Amino acid sequence: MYELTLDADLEELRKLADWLRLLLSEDPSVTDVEAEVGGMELAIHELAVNIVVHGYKRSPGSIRFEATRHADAWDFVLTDTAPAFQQDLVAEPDEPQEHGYGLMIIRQLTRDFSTTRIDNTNITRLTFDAAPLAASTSAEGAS
Amino acid sequence: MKFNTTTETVQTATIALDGRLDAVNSPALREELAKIMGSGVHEITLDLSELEFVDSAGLAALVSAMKTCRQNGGDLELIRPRSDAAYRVFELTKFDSVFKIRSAS
Repeated sequence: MYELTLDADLEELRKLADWLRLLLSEDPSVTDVEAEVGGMELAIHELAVNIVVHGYKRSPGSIRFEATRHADAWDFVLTDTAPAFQQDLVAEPDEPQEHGYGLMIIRQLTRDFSTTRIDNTNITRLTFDAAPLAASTSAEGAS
Repeated sequence: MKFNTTTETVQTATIALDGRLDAVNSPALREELAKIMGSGVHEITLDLSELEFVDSAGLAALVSAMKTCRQNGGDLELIRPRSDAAYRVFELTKFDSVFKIRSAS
C-alpha cells in the first residue's frame, strides 16, 4: 500500500501528481506513466478539491491518501475529518453552467466511487480500472 | 444606388497560458479576463496549447468568460492544449463541442 498525507490546501494538492507518478512507475503493467497519471490525477484532484473547499471550507485540516494495486484495479482511499457534506448535492450540468462538473468527471474516470462517514471521519473510495497483473507480479498489498 | 459603408475595428485580445489551470490559479485568470472584458474587449483567444493540466475550476473560469463574451456579441476562442491529459476535462464535460476550439498552428 502507498500512503500520502497532505494539508487541506489547494496548493498542496499539486503534490498528488508526483505521488501518482511514483506509484505508477512501480506498476509493471504500466508502459506509459504520463498517459496513465492524467485521468487518475484529475479524478483524485477533483475529489480532494471538493474536500478542501466544501468540506473543510478552506480551514486547516488534512487529507490522507492510500493506494493499493489489486489484480485488475487501483484502489484509492481518501480519509478526512472535515464536516460532512453531501457530494450528491453538488449540481450536475444539463446545460453550460459554471459549477458542478467535479463529480461528473470523477464518475466517468472511475469504476467505482463511494463515500461513507464513520466517527466524524469521511472515507471516500475510488477504484480505477488497471491492466491485469501477471500472477507472478501481483502486487496486492505491495508498497 | 448609394452605399453607406461603416467600418468598425473590433478589439481582440490573446492570452497564452502554460503549466496548470486549476483551483489554485483560476481566480487569477478570472480577474485578468474580467479586466480585459471590462475594457470592452469581447473577442478573446486563449492559447491553452502549453497547458499540462486543467481541472473543473479552470474550466469554470473559461465557461464564465465565454458566457460574458457571447452576451456582449463576441466569443472566447480556445487554442487546444497539446497535452491530451489537459484536454480531457473538455471531453469529459462535453465542452469540446461548446467552445470554439482550434489546434495550435
